[in-house]
Amino acid sequence: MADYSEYVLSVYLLALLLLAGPALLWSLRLRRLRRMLQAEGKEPL
Amino acid sequence: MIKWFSKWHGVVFVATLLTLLTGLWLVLSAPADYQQGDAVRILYIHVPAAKMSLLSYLFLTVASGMYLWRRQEPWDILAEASVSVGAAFTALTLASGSIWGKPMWGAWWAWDARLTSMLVLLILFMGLMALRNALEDPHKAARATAVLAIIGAVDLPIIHYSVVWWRTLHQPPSFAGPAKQTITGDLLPPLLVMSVAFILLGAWLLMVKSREVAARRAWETLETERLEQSHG
Amino acid sequence: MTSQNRRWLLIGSVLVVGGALAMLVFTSFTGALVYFYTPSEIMAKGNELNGRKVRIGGMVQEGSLVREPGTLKIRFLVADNNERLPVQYEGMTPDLFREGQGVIVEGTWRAGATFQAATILAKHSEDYVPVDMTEEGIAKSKESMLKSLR
Repeated sequence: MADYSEYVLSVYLLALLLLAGPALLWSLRLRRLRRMLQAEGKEPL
Repeated sequence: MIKWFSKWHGVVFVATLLTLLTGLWLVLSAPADYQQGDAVRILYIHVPAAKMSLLSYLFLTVASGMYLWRRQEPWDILAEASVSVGAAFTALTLASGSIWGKPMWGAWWAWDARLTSMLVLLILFMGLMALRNALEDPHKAARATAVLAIIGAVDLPIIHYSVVWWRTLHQPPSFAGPAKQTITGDLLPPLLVMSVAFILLGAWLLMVKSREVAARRAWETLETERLEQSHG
Repeated sequence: MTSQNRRWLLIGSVLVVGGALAMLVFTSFTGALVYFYTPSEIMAKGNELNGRKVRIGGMVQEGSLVREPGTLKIRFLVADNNERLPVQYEGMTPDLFREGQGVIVEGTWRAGATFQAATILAKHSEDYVPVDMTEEGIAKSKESMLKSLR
């Protein structure tokens, strides 16, 4: 049977990029916004 | 609701991580398929991602309907978040399917009913993001995206039944309850565990994105108030 | 974002989404979403299809695959429950292209001549079976494929 490891590996890397990527971006933005709100004396969400 | 997300997102994250690790271990230890060889391992990402794409849109439709009915902001926050989460899952579905299709079918893409209707789902998610950005008034944006999301829900039954209603290149579903199951033996457990892992992951992503949207809106409200004060 | 840009984004997003949805619903009702025809349907239409690009789907008839030595030329029969259609093709075949498995051939229909496939796509059945159960897998996959051609 042919070797498909490159195809399989690229799919798992892509999954990491497309799912962990946004998650990281959103978490960092959330943290920044929470700090900004806190600095204004607002209750962080 | 957002407060509740802030309290529980950690628990969901840990559950996601544990299930995902178990799933990956099963993926690695599962045998190869008698025809596809190791390429079958692509489907352990592709199939759960596809399920989550549809589930995200279903959630979006409910949240949009609830917003139009009740006009409560949390429903709109959930709608906005589920668009972002759904877009990520749909992009992954299309890309992983394409990478599977090249060696197996002999083509990256085919304009069959399943692939076409799934591409329309990505266009819907992207269009909804664009529409929200295009309208300056947040209430108007919330209403317009909710209406468009509900109209777009017509795509869901088309995607789901495409492989049954029309002859497609894409194969019919392999698992629809115990009555119809064409995945045999050790190939099934990784698919089930990865499906659960993706559901948890989707829930966690939705929580993070909702909190981010809520925080951004709170900040924007603060800015507007300050602007009004300085003018008034 | 300027209000000008916003307006273009609004028009663009509504047009693209509306267009995609309208196209999908329209093709759903006109039958244009049917990806391929079976050999029986093609045979029944006959001359009507002359000169047209068609996709024909079926099973690669067992024992019918002939590879011309030294070339990439192959000949085989595409079969459904009733008909068998001879097909010629030159080029690389997909990995799942095998005798007794599903296939979709694409090319121009010429009445009376052997069908020249420009493209070959392997159709996978919905059966997933571990390597140590190959025998069962082949039987099940064949059954599912024939069912999908009805």
